[in-house]
Amino acid sequence: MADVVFSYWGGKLTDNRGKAPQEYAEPERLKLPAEFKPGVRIKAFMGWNGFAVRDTDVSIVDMCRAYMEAVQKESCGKCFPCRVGTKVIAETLDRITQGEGRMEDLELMESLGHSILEGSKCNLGQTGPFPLLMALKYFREEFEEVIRGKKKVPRGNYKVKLTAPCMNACPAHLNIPTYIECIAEGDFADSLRVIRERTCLPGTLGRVCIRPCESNCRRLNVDEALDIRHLKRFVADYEIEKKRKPLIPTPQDRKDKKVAVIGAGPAGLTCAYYLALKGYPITIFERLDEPGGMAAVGIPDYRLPRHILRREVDIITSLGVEIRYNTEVGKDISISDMKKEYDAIFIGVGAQGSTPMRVEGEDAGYKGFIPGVQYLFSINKGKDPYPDGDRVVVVGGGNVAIDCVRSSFRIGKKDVNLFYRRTRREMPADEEEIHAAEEEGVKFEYLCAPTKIIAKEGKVVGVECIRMELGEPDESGRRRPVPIKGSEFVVDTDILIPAIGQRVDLSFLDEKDGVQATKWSTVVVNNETMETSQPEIFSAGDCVTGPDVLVRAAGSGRLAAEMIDLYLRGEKVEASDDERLEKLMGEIGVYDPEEHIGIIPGRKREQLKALPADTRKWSFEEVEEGFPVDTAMREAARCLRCYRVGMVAIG
Amino acid sequence: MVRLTIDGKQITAESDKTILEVARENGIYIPTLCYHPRLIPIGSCRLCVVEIEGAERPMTACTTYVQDGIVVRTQTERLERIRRDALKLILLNHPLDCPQCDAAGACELQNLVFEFGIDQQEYQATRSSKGMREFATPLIRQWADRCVMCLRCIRADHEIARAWAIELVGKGYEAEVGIRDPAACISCGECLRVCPVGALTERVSRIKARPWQQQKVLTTCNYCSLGCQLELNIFENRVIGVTSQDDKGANRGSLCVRGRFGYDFLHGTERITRPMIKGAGNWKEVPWEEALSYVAAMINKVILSSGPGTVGGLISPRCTNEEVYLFQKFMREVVGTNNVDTTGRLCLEPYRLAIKEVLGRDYLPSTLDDVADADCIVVVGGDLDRDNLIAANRVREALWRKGAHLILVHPRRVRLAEEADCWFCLRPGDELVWANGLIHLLLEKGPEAWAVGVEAVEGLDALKEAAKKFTPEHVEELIGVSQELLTEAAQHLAKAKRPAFICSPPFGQQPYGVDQVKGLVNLALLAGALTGGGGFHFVGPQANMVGAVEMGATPLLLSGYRPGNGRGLSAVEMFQAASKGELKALFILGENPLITLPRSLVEEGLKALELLVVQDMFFSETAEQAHVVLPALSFAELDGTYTNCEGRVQRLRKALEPPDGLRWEGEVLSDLAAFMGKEMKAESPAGTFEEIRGVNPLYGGLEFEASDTQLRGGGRDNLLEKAVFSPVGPTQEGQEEGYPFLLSVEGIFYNHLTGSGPQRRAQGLAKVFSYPYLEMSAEQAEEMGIGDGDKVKVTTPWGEVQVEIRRSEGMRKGVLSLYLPFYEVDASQLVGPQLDAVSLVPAYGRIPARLEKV
Repeated sequence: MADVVFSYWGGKLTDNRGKAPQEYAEPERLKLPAEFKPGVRIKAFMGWNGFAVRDTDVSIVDMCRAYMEAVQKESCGKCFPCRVGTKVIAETLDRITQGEGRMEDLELMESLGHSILEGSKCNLGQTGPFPLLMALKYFREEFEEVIRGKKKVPRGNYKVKLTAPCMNACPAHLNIPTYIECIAEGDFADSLRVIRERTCLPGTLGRVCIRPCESNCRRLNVDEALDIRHLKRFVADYEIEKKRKPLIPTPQDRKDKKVAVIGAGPAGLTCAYYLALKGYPITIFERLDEPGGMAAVGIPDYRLPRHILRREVDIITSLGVEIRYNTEVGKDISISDMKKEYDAIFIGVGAQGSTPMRVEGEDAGYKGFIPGVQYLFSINKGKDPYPDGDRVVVVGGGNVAIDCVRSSFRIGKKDVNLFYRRTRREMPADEEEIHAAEEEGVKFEYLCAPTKIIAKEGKVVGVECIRMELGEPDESGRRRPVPIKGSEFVVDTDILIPAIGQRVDLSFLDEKDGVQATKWSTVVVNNETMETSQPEIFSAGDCVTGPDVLVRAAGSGRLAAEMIDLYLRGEKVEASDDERLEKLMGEIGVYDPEEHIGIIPGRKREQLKALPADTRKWSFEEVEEGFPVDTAMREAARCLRCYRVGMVAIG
Repeated sequence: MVRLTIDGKQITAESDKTILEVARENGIYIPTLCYHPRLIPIGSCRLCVVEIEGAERPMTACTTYVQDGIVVRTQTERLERIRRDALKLILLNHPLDCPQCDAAGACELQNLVFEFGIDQQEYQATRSSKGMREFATPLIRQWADRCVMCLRCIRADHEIARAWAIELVGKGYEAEVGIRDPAACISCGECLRVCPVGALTERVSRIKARPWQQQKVLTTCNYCSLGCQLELNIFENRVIGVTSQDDKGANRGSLCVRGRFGYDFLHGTERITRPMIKGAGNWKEVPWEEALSYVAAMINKVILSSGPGTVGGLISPRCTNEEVYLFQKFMREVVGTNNVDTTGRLCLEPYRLAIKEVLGRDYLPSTLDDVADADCIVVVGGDLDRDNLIAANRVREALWRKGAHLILVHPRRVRLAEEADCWFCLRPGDELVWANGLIHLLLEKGPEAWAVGVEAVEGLDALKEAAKKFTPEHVEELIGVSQELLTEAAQHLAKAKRPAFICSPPFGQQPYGVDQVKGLVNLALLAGALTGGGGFHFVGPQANMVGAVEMGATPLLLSGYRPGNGRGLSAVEMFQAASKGELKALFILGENPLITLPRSLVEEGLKALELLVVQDMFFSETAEQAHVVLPALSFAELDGTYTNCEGRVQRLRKALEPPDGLRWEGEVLSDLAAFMGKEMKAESPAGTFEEIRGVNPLYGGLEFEASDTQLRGGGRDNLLEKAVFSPVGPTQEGQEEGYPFLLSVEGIFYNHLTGSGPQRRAQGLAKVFSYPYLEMSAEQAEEMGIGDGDKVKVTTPWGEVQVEIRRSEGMRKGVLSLYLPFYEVDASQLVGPQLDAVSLVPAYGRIPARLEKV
């Protein structure tokens, strides 16, 4: 049932004042969650696009005061309208709530408020006084009453959050506008410092992140999104090029409680880094002889050169983190052994198993049948996985499939094919990656799926496929491929690579470890706290979510570190206010693709230089060259700095 | 090019310009406060907002680039309201201490308030007064209440000096310009220069005056060879400050600590104002006629008895071209000797000889603008930041505004090392092997990595042959350079289209100095520095280093690099000759050889002279040894020209009236000639310049009264015409027995006149310059049990001094660097009398040394 008395958000007004609760209209734009955290009610919300009131006992006047004080507090201090103007308004509102207001204050705030909206440099000032102006419009009597009554208004209880569309969309919540601004101003070291507050893998993410930030970039509404990912790469590379000592915080004093981390992938490494900064001795147990998990074995060198990842791992080990390679948990060491030696355990084993294609001959152990992840792993270790074969067929449409075909050329395979059961439009792989593969001469076969592996003397010699057509959309919204009866055909090949998905392998867990798993074989955790069913065991990353993107694993690895710290300090393990607020802002919607920004388009998004397709396809040299300094600064200058403040009144 | 409309006016403009720039070029006024032409625009003062058709929001002209077809309005009611409101907010709580404020009358805020006619303030906000405090340097005061938060100071610090000494602290209304790291401050005063109001003020001069009471005289700095253009601010015949203009000279408004704050030596005590003759150990002031006739008689006596070859002259490279020209003319034509030299030559000669041999020319036409545009820069020699800041800043400009790569050679982790892609921590003297190693790698890469047209240059085969053995492995073995780093540097050079090379002493002032430089010129030629536009540059310590040599203050050449008849004695040789009784009279103008030349030799030589005439502003160590002392003008007291290291001929303009009785050098020399019974006319600086134009072909087309700086000489096209690769093998000898260290003496030529030992006449600089110190590897110091600040004794085969140690992180082991901000330590004792056979320059670098704790 609708329970919001008043809402003005994004130009949509819903005014239920004077109505009986059962007649309340549902606000059109703003869906206000009921609780801030269990048992704590959200009484009202104020933000960049307006405000909403659930409980009538909330003082709009005091809420405006608190909001303007928050804006003033967050004002970067650079442009005058925001820096000084919001101060004038905040002090005026403070005076009014102290019972010393004057009627003419209202006009002054209105006129100055408009000036700030119009004259400010960035979105903080361009939105800051907006809810106040709306409050003055729709709740003017309340202001007048306070001024007339000359009474003090009691202060409410508020929670404030500064965010931005990109920052909110980023699973690791990097402070993007600040690190971009640092680049625009030439302070590359500080930019990297800001990035490292939230991730220890800037060079890696700067290359392979799927960048949710860029699809939530307000510059998109004007011309093109900023190239946020490659700006991150730029500052990470700059530190390396200039051979600077990595700029990382000094770790806190060494603590006596120890943590074991299972898996040196993005989640495990990140968790280890932030725990090490807090002073915990960390040991990482890694099955392979190489750190990085899927980032190392699943991403080819031409996209993520090995030395970039290794350096980021070196930074982590420089904090005293120990990585025990070639150590398989469940075989070389058990969870129960770990429990004896360590005070907390983090499971970040990822999703490295292959999803079976369910075709005939898959389990026959034919030579030349190699699951995608294994294929890449072998190549990344510098080995041709099957030197006897020249012809390759990869089945799948994701980034792993694309990595397999592009890597195939690079180990000298002559005939490289990719089979996908839907069309190019539905392919989940990154558009830029698909395009690069096309340029390099991969033959794409759409709307077909393998049905049978054809083998001779235990070796793959071909694959039988069937044509597909697209039917009704499935739950993912993509149209479901349906086989066309009798359309089977045979393709000759030496190597067949299934790359249709990964799954989590939890076989290392023993029942007596007590870690619960889902029926899809993922680890069960509390989504806010990353706690498993065992109090001292935490988990995050792909082994919790199923195969997912790197940045989410990294983001949740950091969150897990926070939670493990709470646990080890004996405090209540729960999400921080900041985390809750970030999530809340996300629910309200920070980015509005429909928003009209009101400026003319400017310079185009800068493009990275790439090696030409005919030379790069034979080498593992990194395909894309990073931004040169001047280009990076030009690109960074396109940022609109879309900071905005959201605030909830809680009971 | 794009076409746009501003305020109804059709304008064609370059597309990489902002609306503000284009408007200004077209005479359309848009108010600004945070904008500064040298800084990246940030659009924060909001005064430059304009309306653009199609945009509902006003946009800032300083950050919006012009586009084809846009229609811009700069004056509308709405904009007026936004600007007035922004200005009122700026003015909120701005103190009304204009009558007290240094900037009053030259304040951008005052101008804006007047322009917008702001006479009332309806806004209020509380803010505590911050008062006045010392800034990141004791040379600048901060009045935070006057600050308008335009952030120009912070941006200048971050963008030009890249020092990060100051930063924005706090948020919201309480945000202010704060000090981030005073140790990072280099006291260049860039922040002070860009402050639009009186929030930052200089505190060297104790006398202050209103802007309209001052006279600003544009002249040329007299410290290093960059010859920055600056304005002396004069009040009642005193310099009370130094300012600069954005569009003048190589510095475009920037100055270093010396140029901006080092002026007060001009009014230093102990100024010599009367000629003096020493009789029976006492100085006696005498009239000019008496002094000059005495000197003339003595010189004539020496000439008569021992010949003109026993007379010598030494002139300071801080004298003007006109003074130097007349001085060498006096020596050559009146006395009849080629025994004339300058310490400027000791810095310049290795470079001149090296480029002469490889390129067949005496000078190169590169300017520092070429550096700022380069894509790969090689810096070899001194600590550019400390010695020639403006050049270092141009390097930085290329690095971070254009993305250039930096290859740095220096034994210490100097400030530029932080920004280098490849920092080679070499021992001084190992540069040649290093350069040969890079030549080897470039040759290996093939013609694609070389300069255009270089294949046709003579000597390429010989170079290939010579470079063959300098494989990365061999180079590593010889000089301890990582092969990986060398390969990376070669990669940068191979890719570069516009590489630039900058070098400075003590590089070249080592044993086999000319060969060292030749190795670098070979590399520069091969890599394309001479053909790609980046250039090969040498910067040096003295303001008229280049001019002094080009005017003929060299025993080897006449003015304009013309060959003379036979060679005279070089600076050091004159003292050698003196001690052997082969030189009897010496006329020193503005030089202080006891400080700058091998000490024991100079002492010996001075004692043996029959006549020592020293002309100087102050009673220098050398002047005390003289028989006759003559007063000299300061650079602020005369008209004339300097030629800077780029070959810019720049004016000195008379800003101060000299003390009574002081005379221009031309008059002194022509009187002296007359007393000797010869004629040498010198009417005025302008007249002498006219004469120089006539005899020195490089200066033929130049004007004395030009409004801007002029480049001397021609030959900007086809630098390869006479080029011949001149391969040189390693000539360096091993370390000398008993001397495990290699010592460089630095700073010795930089601060002459500002005071040695006790005086420290530039009191402003004295506040920020430390006492001399010896830098050594921190690691090695630890091993030897030497702490920071410990006193040590440094001994070379020629002498010893005691000095404090400064530990230097990352410095090459086995290397010592003695730095002399002023001359409290007699470092010249450590310098040996051996000369480079070709350049006749003693070694200031790679001096064998040992160290003991005392």
